[in-house]
Amino acid sequence: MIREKITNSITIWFMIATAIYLVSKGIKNIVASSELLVPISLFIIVLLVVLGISLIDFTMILPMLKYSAFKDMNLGAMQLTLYYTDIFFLVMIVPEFENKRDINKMFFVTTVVALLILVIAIIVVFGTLGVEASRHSNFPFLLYSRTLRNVRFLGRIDPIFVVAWLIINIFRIVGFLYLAVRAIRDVFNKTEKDRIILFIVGGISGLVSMLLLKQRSVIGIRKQFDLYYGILYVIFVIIIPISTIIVYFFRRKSINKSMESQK
Amino acid sequence: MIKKVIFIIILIVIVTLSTSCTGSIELEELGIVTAIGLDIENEKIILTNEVIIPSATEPGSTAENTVLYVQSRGDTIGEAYKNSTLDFDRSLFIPHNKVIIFGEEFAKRGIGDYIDYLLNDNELRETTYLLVAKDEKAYDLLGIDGGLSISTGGLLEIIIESYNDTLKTRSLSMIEYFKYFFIDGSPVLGVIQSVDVMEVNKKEGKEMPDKTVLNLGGGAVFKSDKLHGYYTDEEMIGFNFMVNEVEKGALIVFEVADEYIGKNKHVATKGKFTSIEIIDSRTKNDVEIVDGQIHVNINVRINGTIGEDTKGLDLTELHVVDAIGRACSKKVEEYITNVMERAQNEFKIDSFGVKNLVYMKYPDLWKEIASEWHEGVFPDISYSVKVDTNIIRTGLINDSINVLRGKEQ
Repeated sequence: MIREKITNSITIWFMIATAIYLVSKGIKNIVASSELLVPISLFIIVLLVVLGISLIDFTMILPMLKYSAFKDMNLGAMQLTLYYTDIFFLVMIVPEFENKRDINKMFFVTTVVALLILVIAIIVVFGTLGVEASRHSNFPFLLYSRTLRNVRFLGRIDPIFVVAWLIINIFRIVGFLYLAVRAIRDVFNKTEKDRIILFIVGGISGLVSMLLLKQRSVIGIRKQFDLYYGILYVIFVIIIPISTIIVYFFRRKSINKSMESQK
Repeated sequence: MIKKVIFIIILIVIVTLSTSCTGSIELEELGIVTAIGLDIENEKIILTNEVIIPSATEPGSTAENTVLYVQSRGDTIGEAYKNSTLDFDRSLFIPHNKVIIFGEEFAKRGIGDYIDYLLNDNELRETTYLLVAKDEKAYDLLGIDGGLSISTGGLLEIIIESYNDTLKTRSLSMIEYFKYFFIDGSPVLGVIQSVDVMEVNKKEGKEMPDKTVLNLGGGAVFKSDKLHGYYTDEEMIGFNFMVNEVEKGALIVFEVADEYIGKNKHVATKGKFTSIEIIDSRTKNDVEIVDGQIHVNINVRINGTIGEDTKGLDLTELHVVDAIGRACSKKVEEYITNVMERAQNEFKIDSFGVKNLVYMKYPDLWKEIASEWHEGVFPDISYSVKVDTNIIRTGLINDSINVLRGKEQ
């Protein structure tokens, strides 16, 4: 038990240290590293999907539109928007883009590719494990990868998925750490050379992770959409984005002028 | 300079930690489990583990026993598992476990209350096979020899994976069990039992006593999590066709009417049976409402090759080959009808997923009949079976070996 705690702590601090190092090197290096490593994760996910195609039973996938109410599906969709927050990273790094003309194309391609990967993963998992068995699992895709019996020549394949999971999550940590540090730097009017904020935020993230490790590292609570989710959804998915769009609509001329003057 | 020193220290730390030695357990500290038996006695779970003896499996070893059996008790499977450390000097290591056998009494009491541990624990593989011990305790079956494998677990794994040769049983892993459990609440597991067979050993030169071997055949029918009854070997052939789990290699044996023998003159004894080896098979079930009643259309499409012909049929005639296909189709229809009759009239349990078809095609109707599906609706549904067998090869010979063609019989 003690050994396990030490191992988990080491994993957390290694991930945090890696994230701090990457963030300290700036956004260009973060993106360059992700260009190198994220395709490996995507390749692993695609490989796992391909290896499990023979296990998929499409009769397991129930006709959602026939038995679900319109309200239920929309509540589910609203709930999901609060989980899949990675798109915010893309939104926040827009000012760093050199070529802002293709921004619509970039967002469209990113959203379509991300949704496609998600949909394929969901179909494969549901088709292999069944809808209910998947819902009972905290890690359905990991469970799916553990059921790939017909790839014995590769040995046990689920550690490969863990590698992909680690790569993806290290970049999520890096992304959110970068955004947090940048926001705090802006608040205190600090430059990128000032790294003390990075170490403070990174250290706090590590400590919070350690706290969660001891308190609630994995708890699968299936919570229905309630008032709490409703308030969060309204604030973060409706009010803030719409306010931003309205502000941009009225101030776009002055913003464009100030950006041109900066160039 | 300081940077280089820090860099080297970090590298040394990474190299040290990356050897995966944190949290490791040495091989000699492990008891590698290859089969698990679960029984219940006096309201206590009895967990029997078949553990490999590493030294006995080394090349050149003359040890008589390659495995030993560790038994422990507890209120739950998890407790029984942990209790094994009270009298066994190794940690039980279950990722290499091949099979879990439920004793009959345990299965009849309902396995749902206990098996949570099996899926929740990350050590046990979800691909572990599940079996039910017919008329016996699981621990009575562990240790029965009969094959070349060094353990009962290894033996059973190979037998289970060969189920498709006969179709007389079923291979169902733990995750598949849960999949069917959640979908229709009535999975069918493979059945294992001990049978006495004659010992064949001519070298001994004397009459040998019978020996006991493990036999895998039939299906254990569950309703929810409780064992309800057993399908016979032949009924399981129909079951496997119904649930579309027939793969390449299965053999269907049947009789073809005498009129198709043709002009063959038999030079040896005329046999009775013909068989087809399946190349591929696909079953498509569909439901429809006919006169206000649910009707299931079971459509099976078989592609096969002539496996053997002991009857002496004239295989060079196309209409004879077609007749063989029709005879095969009729036999498969018979298998399916038999299993459906038993499911509807005796068990009153839909283990075939018909429920799911109704759910998908008629969700509104399903809401009305869901609560009384198994006992109230399923026994009364009508069905029609249509099997289409297409013989695409006749094998390496073009006619049966015991006939002379072209001469009057």
